Formats: sequence, structure tokens, C-alpha cells
Amino acid sequence: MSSREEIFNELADAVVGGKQDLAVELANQAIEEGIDAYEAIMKGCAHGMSIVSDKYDKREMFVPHIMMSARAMNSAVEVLQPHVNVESVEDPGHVVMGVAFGDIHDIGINLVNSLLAAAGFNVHHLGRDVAPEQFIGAAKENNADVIGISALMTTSMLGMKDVVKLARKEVPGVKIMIGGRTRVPALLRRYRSGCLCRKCPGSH
Amino acid sequence: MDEMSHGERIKKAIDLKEPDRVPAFSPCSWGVNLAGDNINRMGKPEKDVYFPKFVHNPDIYADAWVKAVDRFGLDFVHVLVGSNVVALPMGCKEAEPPWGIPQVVGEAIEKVEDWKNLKFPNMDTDGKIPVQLSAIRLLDRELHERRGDDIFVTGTVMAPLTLAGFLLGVEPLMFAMIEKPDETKELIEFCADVGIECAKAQIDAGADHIFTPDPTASGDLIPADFYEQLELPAAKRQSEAIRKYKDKYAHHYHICGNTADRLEILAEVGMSVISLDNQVSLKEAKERIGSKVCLCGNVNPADTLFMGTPEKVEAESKQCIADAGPGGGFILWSGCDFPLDCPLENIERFYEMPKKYGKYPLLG
Repeated sequence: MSSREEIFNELADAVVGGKQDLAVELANQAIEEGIDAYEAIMKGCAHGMSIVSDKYDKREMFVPHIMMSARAMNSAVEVLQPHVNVESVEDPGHVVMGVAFGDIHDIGINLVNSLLAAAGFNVHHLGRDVAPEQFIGAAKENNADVIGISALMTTSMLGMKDVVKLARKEVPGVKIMIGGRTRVPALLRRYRSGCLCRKCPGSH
Repeated sequence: MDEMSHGERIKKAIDLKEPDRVPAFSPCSWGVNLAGDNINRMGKPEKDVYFPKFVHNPDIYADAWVKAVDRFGLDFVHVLVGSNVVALPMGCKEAEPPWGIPQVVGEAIEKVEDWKNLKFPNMDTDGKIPVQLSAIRLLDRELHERRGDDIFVTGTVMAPLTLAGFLLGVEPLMFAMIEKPDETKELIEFCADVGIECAKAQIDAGADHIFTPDPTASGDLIPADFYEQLELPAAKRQSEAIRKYKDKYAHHYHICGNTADRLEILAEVGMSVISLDNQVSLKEAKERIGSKVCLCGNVNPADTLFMGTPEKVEAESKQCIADAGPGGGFILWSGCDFPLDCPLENIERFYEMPKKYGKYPLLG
């Protein structure tokens, strides 16, 4: 096994284990050894988070440990990102994310943001309690491919409908992704959303 | 005509025996739809009584519940004037949307070890606690004293770990569980103490039953061993204190998420009633812990009660009764609190179900 692959595996392990300092150390080592930063993000950090994601699905990992992993990954990505050769990397797309109007629960969406970023997407996070107009404005501004809306409260899930309605009119080509505890199939059908995240970590 | 009074029915179920019929637990925040003239404005954006007015005025709050009792023949009424009456006086901030449950938006402490600086709230004077107590007193007077009815008046305090999540923030709490387990345990134990005192004040005001929801200890958030180490001792102590202060029927513990991997651990809390999320099979829960504790649940609140038809409500309620009703020891409810905009026809159908399918002896 080459040293490159060893570093990727160690980086993935550090992310899975939530070892922030080790992840940063390995990211720095990758840069020093002239390893492609983008490859280190994808094959190290993102790979680690995808293992984490599988473990959540199998109930082998829960939110506290996932958050440790996300933190380790984010710190390593911070080190690697400035070294990514932007010209050689294909733009994977832009995602506008936010918690629906009237809702402030953001553990799940923060983790999803980390996963999307790790997978190479450009994530534009609008935060909590986001009005429908803000979603549309940000989608236009960033030429977004996807709008992601999360809601925990059954009351705020109603606000998702307004985002979808407005998006269909203003940015018809943009896909809509909905998540959070209120991710119910009936909602998907009713709002004709493009995608439903059934297993977002933290959607308690 | 029912053979038992509401209180007799509930007590029989909690004693793991068969009452005249399955009791049904009440919605909480949905009660706002009975306030003022709201019932005639359901599904419309304009309301007579908006949520902030509902939770700041004990007379309006209690009046809504009395109307709900008369309309649905409830076994319980449920008092919670907001999202959490003790978090605010302890230093949290709350936002009050016009039509939604108030939400805690600002935390009281930044670091888990700062729990030592938290104020122990004064139950007679602080924040909305007096409103909570007044609403209970009004319901006690109207239902118990004036009408001579023994409907269970239910008060509410957040379970210890969930209150800790309000005070510190859920994300920091998740990190603290791993990085500072001792301090996290101290914070959770402190939260149990606050909850016990708040529960006692509500019992003194006339509450029969204390509902302690524990969404942050959800089976979708924390692993079973964290629950066992951090929350179980505090929740158990809180449950014992509530039952000792009132009686063995006084504590109702609700937990969110998929908790199938820890049902036996949950039962160790010793609660009078445990209500489970609709992600948990009531049939399985009945087999595993049904001989230890009265079960409650768990019609899907979003997909069925809110977005489903009355027929769907009927089918799912019937199934819940078939799964957990046999032998008694069961109370029908939703898998979590009812969404505010659940249609009236779904709620009406739901409260007809115990009378239609829940009469003992149950028909196959």
C-alpha cells in the first residue's frame, strides 16, 4: 500500500473515530507530502463520513459520535480546502440549505451539510428560521441545483410547502430536498418534492 | 354509558388490569383549537386566539380544555403553557410564533460545567410557571371540585436530559456527553431536581399526573448506553419523587425516536405510564415490557393524525388497541404531541376509537 493510500485510510479512520487533532495532523501531512488535496478530501474525509453514515443507518453510531466525526472532518477539510486546485476539479453543484420558517432545530441539517460538503458540493447554509423568499433569493444568487429544507416541528413542515410553491414559479429547474423529523411520504407526495431524506441523523 | 369514571379507568389501566374500556390520553398544544372561537376557524390563517394569548392567559387555557372535555369526553386534560416553563427563568430565551409552540432560541449556559451558576427557579413567581399553576388550579376547581369529575389533570415538566438540552443547547450537550461526562451527569441531575420541584408545585395546584417528555434522549439521537449512564439514574429518581409525592399513578414518561433497542432499560425508570414514538412496535413493546408498565401510544402524529383521513386514523387506532390493549395496561395516544393543525374530524374519530374498539373484553 502506498503512503498516499495509507494517509487516506488513516484520515478516514480519524474521521470515523471523531479524532479532530489526528485528522488535522493527517491533513497537514498530506499537504506536506504533495498529495492532491481534493483527493484527500474525497478519499479520506468524505469516505470517512460515508462510513459514519452507514453506521448510523445500522444504529452502530448515534448523534454524539457523529458530531465528533463531523467536527474532525470539518477541521481536516479546513486545512485541505485552500490547497484544492479549483481549475482541475469539476464543479459538483450548489446546494442551498436552511431550516424552515418557524423552526430552529438544526442538528440534523448541520450534519447533512457536513456530508454534502464532504461529498464535494458547495453548500450555502442559510441557518434557522428561513423565510421562503430567502431560499429563492439564495438559489438565484448561487445558481443552485438543489434547495434543501429541514423541519422538525410538525407546525413548520407547513412552511415547506410555501418554499416549494415559490421555487416552482421562480426557479423551476431547481430540485427540492426535504428532511427532518417531519419527512413523511404524504408530505413528499403533496409537495411534489424531488427527494426525501428518510434517515437524516439528528432528526429526533 | 361508561361503567367507570375517568379516574377509575386510568388507574385500572396503570394497575395493568382491564378497565371498562381503553382510556385515551389527551393532546397538549392542539387544545388551542378549542380556545375562544378557534374551532370555527380551523384550517384558516386567521384565528380568534393565537398561541401566545393562549399560553399567557390561564383562564383562556383552562376554558379551552373544559370545552375539549365536553366535546370529546376526554379522560385526561393536559397543561403546558409553552414549550417549557422552567427553561426561561433559568436563563433561556423563547420565541413565540403566532401559531406555533413557543421555542427556546437562546441557551442559558455556554459550557456544561457552568450549570453551577444556573438559577433554581422560584415556582411561585418565575416566568410562566405561575400561569402553568393557575391553569391547573382552574381545571382542578372546574373539573374536580365543581363537577365532581375525576378526569386526570396532567401537568408537564421536561425530563432531566431534555431540560439539560434546552439549557446548554442540544449540540453542545451531545459533545459534552462524550468529552465531559461527569459534568454532564451533574447538569442532568440538577435538571432532575428542578423538574421534581416544578412537578410538586403542579401537584399542589391540583395535578393528578405529570407528563415528562424526553425528546432529547431520543433513540434516534443517543445510544442506549448513554441513556443508561446519563439519563436513567436521573429520570428514575425524578419518577420516584413524583410518585412518592402524589401516588403510583402520577408519572407519565414519553420518549421519542426508535427505542426498540432499550425498552427494558426505559422500563427501569419506574414510571406509571410510558408513551412510545410511533417508530416502536406496540406489539413488541407489549411482549417485552407490558407486564411491567402501562403502555401508551402511538398513532402516527404527522402522517395519520395530521395528514391522514379519519379512516386512516380509525385503522391505525384499531391496530394500536389490538396490539397493546389485550389484558389491559394500555392507554391510546399519538406517537408524540398532536400537530396544531390536525383536522377536527381526525381528532373526533380518534376519541371515538376507545369506545368503538377498546371496550373490554376486547373482541378478537
